[in-house]
Amino acid sequence: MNNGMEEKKFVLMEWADGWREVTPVEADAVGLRKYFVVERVEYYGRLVVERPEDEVPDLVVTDRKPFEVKRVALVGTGASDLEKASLYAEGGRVEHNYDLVSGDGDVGAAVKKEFAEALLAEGLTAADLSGKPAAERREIIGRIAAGMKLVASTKQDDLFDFVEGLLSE
Amino acid sequence: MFGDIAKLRGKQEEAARFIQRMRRLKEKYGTISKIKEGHKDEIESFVLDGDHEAMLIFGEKEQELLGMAPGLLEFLKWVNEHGIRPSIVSELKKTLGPVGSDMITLYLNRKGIIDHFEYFITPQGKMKLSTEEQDLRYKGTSKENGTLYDELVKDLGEQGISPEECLMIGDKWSTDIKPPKQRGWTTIQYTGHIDMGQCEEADYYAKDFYEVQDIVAKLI
Repeated sequence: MNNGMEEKKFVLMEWADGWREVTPVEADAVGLRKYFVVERVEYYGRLVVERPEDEVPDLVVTDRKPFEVKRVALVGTGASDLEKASLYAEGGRVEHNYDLVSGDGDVGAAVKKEFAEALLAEGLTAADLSGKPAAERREIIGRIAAGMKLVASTKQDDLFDFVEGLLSE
Repeated sequence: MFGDIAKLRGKQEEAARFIQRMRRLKEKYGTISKIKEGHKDEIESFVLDGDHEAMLIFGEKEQELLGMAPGLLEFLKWVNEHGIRPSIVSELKKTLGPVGSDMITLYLNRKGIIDHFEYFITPQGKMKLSTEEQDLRYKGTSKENGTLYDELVKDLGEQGISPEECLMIGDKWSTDIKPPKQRGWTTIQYTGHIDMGQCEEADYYAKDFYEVQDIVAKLI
């Protein structure tokens, strides 16, 4: 049969309400083995970021140990410690709400100082680092930051932009 | 729901973005029900990128997903058999149209329970559900600042019903419990769906309508 489907194989799933979904699978698929449903409670942390009045707030979502986040900061505006405050339930979803309590210190300055010290331990200054080719600079920043347990949540480029921004101040 | 909408519109890759934007909109207004009551246009413009067809699907899916609280049907039959005709008090922002043109009366129609209610009372006016006759005295009032309840107290007073004879059942402290309580009504905080914790001003608490019925049975 030459209908253009020889090299592609698909699974078709059908629901009780008539909904049907097509999903491509490996071209050498030969059959179906089993079907199962996983039931698992998953927790996500959501940090709401204020924007100018009437603008829709920004939202930062984390799936890494959300109950263990202890401090949050919009860099440049100070940090807040998190304190458990209340529960809010809507249907099957429960929100564990936290108060943002003013914490001490400028997290940006602290990270800058910590990074500069780690850089010095390698015999480099911020000026030395900025004079290096981009690829080498990225390698050094990534390595030092990882040693500080400082990582980007989704894109490594965000880490480079953040660190280079701090060092250029 | 947004996964289904994205798929039906052939925009599978947009599903995660739609969901994220809906969550952001919820943070702007506080609760999903506040968005639905007064800012639904932003679901189309902000969440769904202005895709009107996607918004129509949203409306259909929303109705499909809305269930009925445990014991509600039994309670409605029971309360009507006892000669009590409940009314719905909603902070509807949309202009009051014919029955079925807003999500609440559409829901009542679809579930076949509209005949159990007498009036639909909103900041847009009061509508007798059996005739769609509108009373615009309520226009411009609000549940949250209590002016809707002020108008209701006046309206009921003209019918010889005092605040002590009125009962409000609702889940939100600021719109369903505190304002009517301040005007002398009895209040039941319903915690079966939205549970904000127990409001001190509430007289009773119920997690389903079987409990509501038990409370009302003691009151009448």
